[in-house]
Amino acid sequence: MALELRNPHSVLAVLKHRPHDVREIRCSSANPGGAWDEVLIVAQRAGISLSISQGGGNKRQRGKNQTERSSGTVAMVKERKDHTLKEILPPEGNCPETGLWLAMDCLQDPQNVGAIFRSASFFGVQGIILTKDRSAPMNSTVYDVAAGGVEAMPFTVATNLTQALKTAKDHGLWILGASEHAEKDISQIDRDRPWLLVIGNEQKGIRRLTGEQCDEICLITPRGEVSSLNASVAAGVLMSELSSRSSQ
Amino acid sequence: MPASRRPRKSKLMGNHQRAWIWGKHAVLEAIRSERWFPCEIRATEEVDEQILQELNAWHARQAELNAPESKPALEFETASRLQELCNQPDHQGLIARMPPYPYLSSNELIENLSDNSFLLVLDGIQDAFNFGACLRSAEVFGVDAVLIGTKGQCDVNSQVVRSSAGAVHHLPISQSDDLMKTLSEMKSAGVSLVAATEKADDDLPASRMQGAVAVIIGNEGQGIAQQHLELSSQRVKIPQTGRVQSLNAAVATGIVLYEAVRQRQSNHKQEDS
Repeated sequence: MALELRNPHSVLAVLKHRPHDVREIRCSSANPGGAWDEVLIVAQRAGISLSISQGGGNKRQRGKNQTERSSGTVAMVKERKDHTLKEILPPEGNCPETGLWLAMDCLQDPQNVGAIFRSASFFGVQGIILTKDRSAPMNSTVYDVAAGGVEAMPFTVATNLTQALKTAKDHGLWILGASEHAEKDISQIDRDRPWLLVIGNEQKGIRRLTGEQCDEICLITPRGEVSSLNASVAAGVLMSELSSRSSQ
Repeated sequence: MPASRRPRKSKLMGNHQRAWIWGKHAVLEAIRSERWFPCEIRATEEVDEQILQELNAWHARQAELNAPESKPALEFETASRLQELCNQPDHQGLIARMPPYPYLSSNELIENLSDNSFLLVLDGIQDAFNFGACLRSAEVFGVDAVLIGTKGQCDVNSQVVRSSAGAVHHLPISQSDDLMKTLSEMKSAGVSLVAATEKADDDLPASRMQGAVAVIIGNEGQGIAQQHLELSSQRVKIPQTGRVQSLNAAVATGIVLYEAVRQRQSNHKQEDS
């Protein structure tokens, strides 16, 4: 199934990493403006078919929900193929001393999944494990919110996360769960290990069986009356902490 | 006559469906915080007994406080009618129509500054999800108040209420017509302005965020306005270790605020010992 991308930055990333997967770009005018202009230049050079409808057709319109912005320009792009679990893990018996991997345990909001991919790319995460059931699919929203963060990030979709975490441990990774019920603050977590950070569902957190696989469970200690951060913000803070060596 | 056709004297947060906030959590936080009063509340008959009691208590209290003609309404409707009103399927049987958000004036913000104020300044956050998530993080990390401008800035709307997870009801938010002027006043009052920008030379851990500090986060596309950057006391960037060059504005806000809290706490510990 083709994705319909509306964020020019996510399209630019596809053009850079796998230009042949961009099937078509539909614009409402020859000069859509902003970063789309750059998209059109790169696309033309790559020989991608452009369809331009002047006037009518895809005019600027309000999206399905109140906050969605849409310029009317879209790119039809092939989905990225996921990897196998083994491909995203370090080779067995040869695990690096540090590094960061990520797992999302049934995240349901594609906005969160996209934002997490973007942060993961920023902080150099080496691979992401997603869950198959009761989870947001890798849809257009995820690609657009990630703003290119999906393109260079190896990911795999696991049917059984518990099993995947066990395999990750066999490959030498340490599992770190994030939960608001934890006792340890993230600042108390040892940095000098190859961590696989597990982010839980927006409402329920990480599942019990997932929690049982964790070597450590940590939290970001809250100070206000709202007890928890948005899942993608929490993930960003944790990745930032785990990847910062300068603050040590 | 149905309540919706009753003549209204007060303004609303938005037109039509946009004036409604939805969901048990959002509506109950609104009546509990007593800062931003609903004009009217609609619920389904199936709403929990406990919630119903709370709603009735609120309604009775409002009846005492308000003149009869301005008393907010509490009415019961079908779930599908609620969905029609707020245009959201996940209303959980409880919605409230809200007046405009009661922003703190920039004068009040300046008057309430102390030598330990912890502030967040958003320089043109356009996206409601981002804005809400920034507010939620600000609340979690104990920020005293948030300052926003008007240009290119998303207002507090129903979507922001949703994505802030109730933080809008607890956190003072000030809106300034002239962000440059308010920032200058804050700086004169001794607040250190820390700008989070990719153009910085210093990494975040090199920042100094103890004492009175305001963290400035820029617009999703253009970042912080040039004049605000020039006014700032420190410019810092989040150290990048991967390939994608920028972070989502709400994620960046969370990371900078977390670092600020870490520094401010270690400062307290030093004072204690």
